Amino acid sequence: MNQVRTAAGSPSGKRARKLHRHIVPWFILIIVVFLLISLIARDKTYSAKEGRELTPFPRPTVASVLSGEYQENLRAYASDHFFARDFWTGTKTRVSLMFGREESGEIYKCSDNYLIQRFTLPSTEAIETQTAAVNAFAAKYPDLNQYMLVAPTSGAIFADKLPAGAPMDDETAYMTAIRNELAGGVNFIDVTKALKNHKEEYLYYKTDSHWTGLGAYYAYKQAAETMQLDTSLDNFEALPVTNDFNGDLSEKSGYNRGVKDQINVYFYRDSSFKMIAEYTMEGTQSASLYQSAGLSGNDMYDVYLGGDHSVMTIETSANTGRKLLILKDSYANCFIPFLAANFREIVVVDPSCYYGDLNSLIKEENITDLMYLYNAVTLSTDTSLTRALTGAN
Amino acid sequence: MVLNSVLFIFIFLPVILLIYYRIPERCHTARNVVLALASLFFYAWGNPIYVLPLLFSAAANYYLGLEIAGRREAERYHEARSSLIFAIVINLLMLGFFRYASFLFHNLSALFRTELPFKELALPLGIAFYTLQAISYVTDVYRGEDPEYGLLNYFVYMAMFPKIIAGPIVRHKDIRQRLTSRKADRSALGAGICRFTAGLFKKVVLADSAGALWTVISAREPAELSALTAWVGIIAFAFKIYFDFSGYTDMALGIGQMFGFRLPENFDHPFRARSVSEFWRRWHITLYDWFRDYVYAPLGGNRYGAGRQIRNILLVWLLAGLWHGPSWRFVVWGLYFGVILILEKFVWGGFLKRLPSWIRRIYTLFVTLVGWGFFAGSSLLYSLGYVRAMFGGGANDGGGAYYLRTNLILFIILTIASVTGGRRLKDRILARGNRGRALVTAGYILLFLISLAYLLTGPYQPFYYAFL
Repeated sequence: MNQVRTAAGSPSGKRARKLHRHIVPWFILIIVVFLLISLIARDKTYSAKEGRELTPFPRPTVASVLSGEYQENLRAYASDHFFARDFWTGTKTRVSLMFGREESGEIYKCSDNYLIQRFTLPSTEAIETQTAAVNAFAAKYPDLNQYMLVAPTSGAIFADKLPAGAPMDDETAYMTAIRNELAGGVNFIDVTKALKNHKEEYLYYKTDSHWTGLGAYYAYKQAAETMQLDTSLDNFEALPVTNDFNGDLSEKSGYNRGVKDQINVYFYRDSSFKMIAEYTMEGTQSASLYQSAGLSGNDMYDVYLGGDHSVMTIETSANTGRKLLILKDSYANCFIPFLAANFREIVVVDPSCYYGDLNSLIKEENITDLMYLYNAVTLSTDTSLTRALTGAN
Repeated sequence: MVLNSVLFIFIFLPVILLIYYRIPERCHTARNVVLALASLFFYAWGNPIYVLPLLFSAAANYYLGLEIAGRREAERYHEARSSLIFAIVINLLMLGFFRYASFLFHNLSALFRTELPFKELALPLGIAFYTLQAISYVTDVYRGEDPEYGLLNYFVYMAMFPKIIAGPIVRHKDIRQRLTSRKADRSALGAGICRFTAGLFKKVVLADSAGALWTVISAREPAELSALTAWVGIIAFAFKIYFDFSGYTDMALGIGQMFGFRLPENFDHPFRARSVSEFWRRWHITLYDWFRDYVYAPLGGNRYGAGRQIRNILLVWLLAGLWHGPSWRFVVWGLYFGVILILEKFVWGGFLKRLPSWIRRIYTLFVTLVGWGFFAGSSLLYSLGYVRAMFGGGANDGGGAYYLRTNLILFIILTIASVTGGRRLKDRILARGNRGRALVTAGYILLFLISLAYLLTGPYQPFYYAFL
């Protein structure tokens, strides 16, 4: 679109000038109208669609102006509070889809309305650092039963839904690498086969990075063997709590915003079995592991355990002396309810926001079992587990 | 401030235009004052402290320009010459200090295996461009051009906000007349709007889309890339840098038009070039012209035999490469093209001309893409690895076909957009009278709205060339 100079008097030159004169009032209109609407509309503080806080109007100070920080905040503010921002976000996604993209931010748009996130194998050093921390911690507590469950994500189980040739590393290779590095004291639980046996079922959400309650259940059944759990008490009833779940992958990529997932929660049919969940940081208690408040929040997956907490404790009426400490990411939130009947107490710690002392926790609560539960994608980039373990070593 | 931001497009530019157009055309001093103040504000917005080097450079070169002209008039050529050398040295010292000091220290530290202490400085925006422009000014004055007598006008010439960040590099004699009298009417405003909109679309939509693919591919280690992936990646990069830079140039030229200026072109469909020599007369034209007139010609150009010419070409390209940024990969990139150009001139140029156009174009694209392999990426090591991957030195990752397939439509659109300007199409539609005009107007509005969507929601993308 480089302008070659046209002779001013030529017909095409005249036509061009007419166009240019004609176009000015249109653009003036657009600028003025958009500006006025943006200025008049009241500021929002949070974008549900983007799942983030919007930049508030910045206050200028000498220091922030001189450093350029004020200007940057003002720029972000103007961008964040432009009118109909959600409309513009959607437009961009639509246009980029027209360009043929099937991927946004490492999230693939797959067949059957599935969104699958990409897994990248971490370096050998990263794997060794992580397992070294786990091994060192394991060595301190040789009396504890220790387990590590690295859950595959939908990319591993539903690999056939991915676009042809889409770059995706092998999560089972990752799991094998971890397993090889783990010391003998830590039992590695591999649920991949168990899940693949049920791959025609609704094991993962279409729009979210997590597995469904059903997927967690099959994983639990596999884990129960290794952990020597008593499965005779497992009589669960599935209760759908929403059909309107649009998950984090859809939010991040902008794809499949209209696709809805269903969330099921699972209860012990035996109503004599009791649980109390205590949220240490928040200082609250609940008789259920499911928080319906999570359904009206921004991420419906929070219905499980009320989301991620730095530490929480679950006490049950189980007839056993076993007490579990589980270091986990959000995949465990829908997995833990299945464990409840086998442990008197479950202490749930999320290392990404936990800054307490694991050693005293183990001692005070008389922990008998220690479990790590992460999904492959999160674990491959996680550093908080290593931090929490080495801090406690 | 940058041209591709909501604040600029919806607040700064309209306000300045409003004030500017309220001033009658004959009060060109008042209009220049508006431009000067706006440019100062625009520049200070990004980094307030670095207004000082800009003001210093403007003042110094202005006064030195007058001094050179005065001495030349008085036929004291030797003294005029020393003023010129003094001016050039000051400009180069400024550029060297702000841009290349840490590079120098890094290399000295490596050479002497010690850690020389120094403080990393932020880069004053546009210094690489306005320094070259200043050098062109004082040299032109020395060579006989009239200097700029008004400090205000000189400042507008140097720091005018459309071009202060990333050029084009303007010769004073090309703009001198318009500094004192220019016509800015509705048709100029409209032409500027059209040009600006096209440039905005190129930068925030096309460059952004190509850049997204490049980001994904370049995030990997080069040794892991298959040849196909590496080529797909470098094609994405070439599109990205082309639309980024030419889009920004379009925006600059469009804004210039809105104020009555005719700034020089920087791009002329470079992907249509039929030889590498031709490519460099179509890509970043004002830079090429600058090196030709202010480095190559003073070194003797081709007037002293082939040996000297070869030396000059290599020297020019070494410097041109280094100008792009403080990194060895740019030096390699520059020398690479220097060597290719020498080969074209002395070895296969004649043969090349006898080949059909389409072969020549493929050859040119191939050579320049390999060149971009050296340029792209974050370090020399990476670049060498990347070029090696392009020639099969990487692994077989199987992702190349996927990237190609999912970006085919995008590549087709980008190819069309880079090879034609849509100008003939536009003329044909406009020839259909009022209907045609309405259609083209709607087209520009659509481009603007899509650009707005990308602008609001994309990550903040500063202009690539300004931050090398």
